[in-house]
Amino acid sequence: MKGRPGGTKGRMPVSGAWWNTPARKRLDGKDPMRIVFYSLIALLVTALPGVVQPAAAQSDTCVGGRPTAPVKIEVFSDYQCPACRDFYLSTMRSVLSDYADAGKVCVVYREFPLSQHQHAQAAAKFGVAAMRMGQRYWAQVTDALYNKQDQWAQDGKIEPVIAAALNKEDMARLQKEMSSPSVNTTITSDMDLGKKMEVNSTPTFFIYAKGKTEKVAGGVQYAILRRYLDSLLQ
Amino acid sequence: VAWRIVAWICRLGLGGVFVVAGYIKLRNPFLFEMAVDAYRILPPRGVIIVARSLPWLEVALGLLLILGWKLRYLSSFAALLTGGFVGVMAYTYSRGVEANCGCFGFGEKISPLTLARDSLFLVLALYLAVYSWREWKRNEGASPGS
Repeated sequence: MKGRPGGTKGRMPVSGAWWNTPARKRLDGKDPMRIVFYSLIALLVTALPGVVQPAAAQSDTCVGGRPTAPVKIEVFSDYQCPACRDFYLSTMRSVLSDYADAGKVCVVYREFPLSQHQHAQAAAKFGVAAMRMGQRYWAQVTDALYNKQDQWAQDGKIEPVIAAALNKEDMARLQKEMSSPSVNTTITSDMDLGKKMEVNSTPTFFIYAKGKTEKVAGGVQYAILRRYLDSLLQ
Repeated sequence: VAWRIVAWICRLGLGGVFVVAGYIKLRNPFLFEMAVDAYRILPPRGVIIVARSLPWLEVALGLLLILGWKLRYLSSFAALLTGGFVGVMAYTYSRGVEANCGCFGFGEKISPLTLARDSLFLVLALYLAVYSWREWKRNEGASPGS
């Protein structure tokens, strides 16, 4: 550790600065401040992997809105699932524009590609990579994937669908993002989280507000979800 | 006497079930709206009307069943209502729609288990309806005016 911890200034022994004394002498137990300081360091070192690891594995990146919003909606979705398409296009897009953009709701989308959907995993990779580029790109890619779901779900040709929605530079960036192995790691961790939260079908979403979590399996019409969100935001 | 005891158990059991089911829904009406909506049968206005009226109907029906007031009518209505629930759930399940049952809370998916449970309630309601109509007819036949 480099530098002097300013917070301990003026409390050190007259005989010399504590960081110049041998470690054994420093830990002789006579100065409680030293013990507290080293204990805090030890605690930090022990706790750090636990704090950092879940954050890296489970990013709570809002695809719309801010993480500080009073309501969070976490959607487990599959790009090849027709119900997820309907839910996104008719409900969540309105939630994103009416609530997330206003800072009232943070929307988190989790990848949950179902095994019976042949191209869902590949589509999920595009979604994750787009999210890493930013909310705007995620919306562009997700709109394209859901609007053209019938097309690519048949032949598995996802890339032309995305390429038509992005310009060349952005497409190149997206492909670069997709080449990262961590994209697959994110999908796996999203799926693991879903299984842990007993997600059995898509779409399934969780609403977090006022310290409570509500699980809803299946899509909901915007007019109905809006009533619930308004009741939470009152 | 045994049939009468069975009818008593059915009446109190069904009454309790309806009161509890209605009370849970009344506690969180917006969540129940979402549960009704997940069946994908009604438009938003219909969803709201059903979700706002059904819990009160369940509580009232449950209390009246417990009291035993106009039992032959109420038990017939309970059988119709429960039959309606089972029918709608079976229809939704057969369409492959993933929806919460919304019967006694909001995290329970429609499954063969929920269908079997609600079918059991239907059997109880049907028994109670048949029993109460038979009792009424017997009493009518025994009365001097008939």
